[in-house]
Amino acid sequence: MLRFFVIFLVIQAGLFTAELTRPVQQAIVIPFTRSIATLSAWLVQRFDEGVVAYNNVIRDQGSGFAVAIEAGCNGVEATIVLVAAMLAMPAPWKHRLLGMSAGFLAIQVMNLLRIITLFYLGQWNKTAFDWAHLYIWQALIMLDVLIVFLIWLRFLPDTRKTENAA
Amino acid sequence: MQHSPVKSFMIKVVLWLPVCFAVWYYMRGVIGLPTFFIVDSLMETWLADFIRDIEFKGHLLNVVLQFDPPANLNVPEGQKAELLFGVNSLAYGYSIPLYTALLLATPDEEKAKWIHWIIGFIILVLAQTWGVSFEILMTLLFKLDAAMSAQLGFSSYQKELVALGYQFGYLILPAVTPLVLWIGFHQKFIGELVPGLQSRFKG
Repeated sequence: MLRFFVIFLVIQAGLFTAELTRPVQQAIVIPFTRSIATLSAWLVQRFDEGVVAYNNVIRDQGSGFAVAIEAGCNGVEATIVLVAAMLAMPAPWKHRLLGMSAGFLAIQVMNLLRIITLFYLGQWNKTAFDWAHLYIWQALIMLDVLIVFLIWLRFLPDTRKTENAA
Repeated sequence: MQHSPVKSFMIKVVLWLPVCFAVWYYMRGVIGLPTFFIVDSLMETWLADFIRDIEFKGHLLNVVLQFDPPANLNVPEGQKAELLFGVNSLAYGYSIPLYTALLLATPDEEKAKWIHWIIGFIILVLAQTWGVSFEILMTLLFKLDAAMSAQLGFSSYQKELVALGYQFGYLILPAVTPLVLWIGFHQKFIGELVPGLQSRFKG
């Protein structure tokens, strides 16, 4: 267990530091964040035509209310935590890659839900927006990471069977 | 019909979460005190020349700065200028209700739960202290007038470290610490959720 934690923390610290560097921000994080804003706006436009997106901002044309998707709102940090946990756990690479892909999708689906709910909460009530933004959704996204990780663990081949067969 | 143990556990966590958030928010004046005391002592030790006082108001830490006034500010001769800004300590403390909900949803002995909660609370308070302290430093270095920030005497390398520490304290620590604590304290239970896991950890 100690080995798992040490590897997990080292990988996580490395990925997080890399994420904050200018080249990674310019090449990956900023374009990715903009695409999240565009996708969120596209989803909202399916039922609300008065919404536009530009750069990392989603705006309601009627009320003028806008949200900017910044670091911490794009699901990248949650993905880093999940990837670090999956890399730290002894597992076949095939399972790791499948887990990371499925986990990335699960986090991003949850994150889109978060952005859209925050967008409407903000237009309704500032206090509710702040609560959901700063506390509730942060906790829910990490629960999502934990669920994906636990489910992924259940899908790993049982090493006891392999050891017994050997 | 067989229920997934992960699903049952997560339903319990989601049910406990609103209760824990409500208690945490209404008790914020008490729960936030340890963080306030540590931050206050740290800042008094390291930045006594710049931080005159830190006040604890509910969940806001109001930081009162004193500094040599810039040329464009009229201050009576011999006196220093003062400035106040607030830090929302709850933004770094949502890990406490999350961790508490995870503990309450996990089957364990009452005594063990309390011990795990107390140890976890101490560690989460330290993580919260990290976040609040780095936000104060980040405000001093990056949000004030450059001439005022220069009075702190930080090198550009130290400023980069403060920026990294702030991001780490805001984006990673409050999110990851409760999960790491919960996994660390509940290996046996996780082993029940995930058969065969114990042998994998030994590998």
